[in-house]
Amino acid sequence: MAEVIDRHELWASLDMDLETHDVLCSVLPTAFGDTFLSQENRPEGMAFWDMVVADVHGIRPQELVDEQAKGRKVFGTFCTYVPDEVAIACNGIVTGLCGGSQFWVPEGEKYLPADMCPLIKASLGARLGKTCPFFRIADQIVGETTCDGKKKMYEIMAKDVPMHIMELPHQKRDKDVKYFADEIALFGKNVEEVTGVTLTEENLHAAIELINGRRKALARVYETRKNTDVIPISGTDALLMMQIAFFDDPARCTEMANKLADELEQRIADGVSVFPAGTKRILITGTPMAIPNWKLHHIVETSGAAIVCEENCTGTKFFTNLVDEGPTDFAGMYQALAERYMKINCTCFTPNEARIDEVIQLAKDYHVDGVINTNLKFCTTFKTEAPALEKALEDAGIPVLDIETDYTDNDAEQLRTRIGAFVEMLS
Amino acid sequence: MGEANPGVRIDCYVLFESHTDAMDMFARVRSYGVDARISTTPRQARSSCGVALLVPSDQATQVERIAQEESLAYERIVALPCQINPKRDVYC
Repeated sequence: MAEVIDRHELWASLDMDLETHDVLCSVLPTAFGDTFLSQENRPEGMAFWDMVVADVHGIRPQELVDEQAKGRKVFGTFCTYVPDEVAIACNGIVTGLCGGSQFWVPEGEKYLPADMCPLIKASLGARLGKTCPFFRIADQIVGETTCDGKKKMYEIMAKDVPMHIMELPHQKRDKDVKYFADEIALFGKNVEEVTGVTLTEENLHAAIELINGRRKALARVYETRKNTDVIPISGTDALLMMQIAFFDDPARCTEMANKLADELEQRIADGVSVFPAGTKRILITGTPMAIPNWKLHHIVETSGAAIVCEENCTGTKFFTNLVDEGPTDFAGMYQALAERYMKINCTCFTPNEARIDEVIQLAKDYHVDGVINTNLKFCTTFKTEAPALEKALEDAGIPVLDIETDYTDNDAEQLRTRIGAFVEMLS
Repeated sequence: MGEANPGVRIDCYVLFESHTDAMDMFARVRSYGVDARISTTPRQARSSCGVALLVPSDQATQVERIAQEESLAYERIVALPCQINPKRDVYC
């Protein structure tokens, strides 16, 4: 029998606040339609991601609940530094956690200072307000010490849900990589306790291969965006793919991303572009854009420009660099995992000049006309790093626009004015 | 919340009881060249969330015919004034 689309029974079983959650559900169709269905000539392969987001609190949550009924455990994560491979090796499931909507911010502000970044406030609000099924389903949340705001938020969230926190060093010396390898081993012990499944070298290696496969597939999609003659996919659609990648089954994500990449490569061969020739190409860098944060992408791409790359956690940081598949013993694999994850250039590190080099390199690789450096309000590390990054870009002859925003709609018109002027300047 | 485009264009939303039905229908009608797109279900069409199919109103009859010929399951088709406004700037 077909699965019934009305999810209220599922949400009630998760002890969700149905009435409040319904307010969020009522906004999604409008935002989705305006953002995605207003685009012309989208790749056929986007139908899969459209389906997922059209029932984002239904299809995947139901799958997770069904798997839990078979005995599997679900680990909720916020960040690209948590190694999915470890949980997957013990038959666990990793899911991203919602944190990209203003809808959850007021609930978070009941417990957190108002001058904290909206992603943190929304994450706590989604859990404590009982308005996100992923937060309700997770058997355990896995945090990481990437910023002070998150660390303090975890203390509050941990009173409501089991939590394991990974200590992420904030420097990248050899001893720091070794430290993180030890943290990954500790996470392995935790995963074994939660799942009741013994972590084996064979299963960990298989999980490394699986997640490397996902990285390669997502990278294939991005590779097509480097083409200078054809822009085969909008930045808004690519962002949606990346956002869903945090939530989806990794094998299916790999399959669907590869299918999409096939189509995009064919589009390049056929000269099929989403944007007219000469459209200005933009690289976005900065803070992550958790689902359903589509605001900046939509404004940029309805202001005469195309986004061709995202240098952030919901972009290249998620898939750049593979884990070395050479080692097959625990020590070697933990080290290989640590080396890969510690290459992510987050602003929580000091120094973090590698991010500046990476942004400039990506700007060249993707042949961009300009960079938009964006940070969520009250994200201190990204804000502090902005002047150095922007000076380096200007020194490299790459125009840059600095944007600070949040999840509210209030500044949309101001953003349209500023971004429109920036795009015009690029011409 | 801002208003939808006040234009005269009418869109049709095909509603389903399951997302698998929606994806089956999508694949089949696309193979006939119907300009169908996967969509959320507008609140004006139904009070619960879910996957719908958005088709131009002048192709709705063709969709009904394909569904009948190929025994594709769907709930109903709802015609609505265009709900899409890219400059509305109302986000989730």
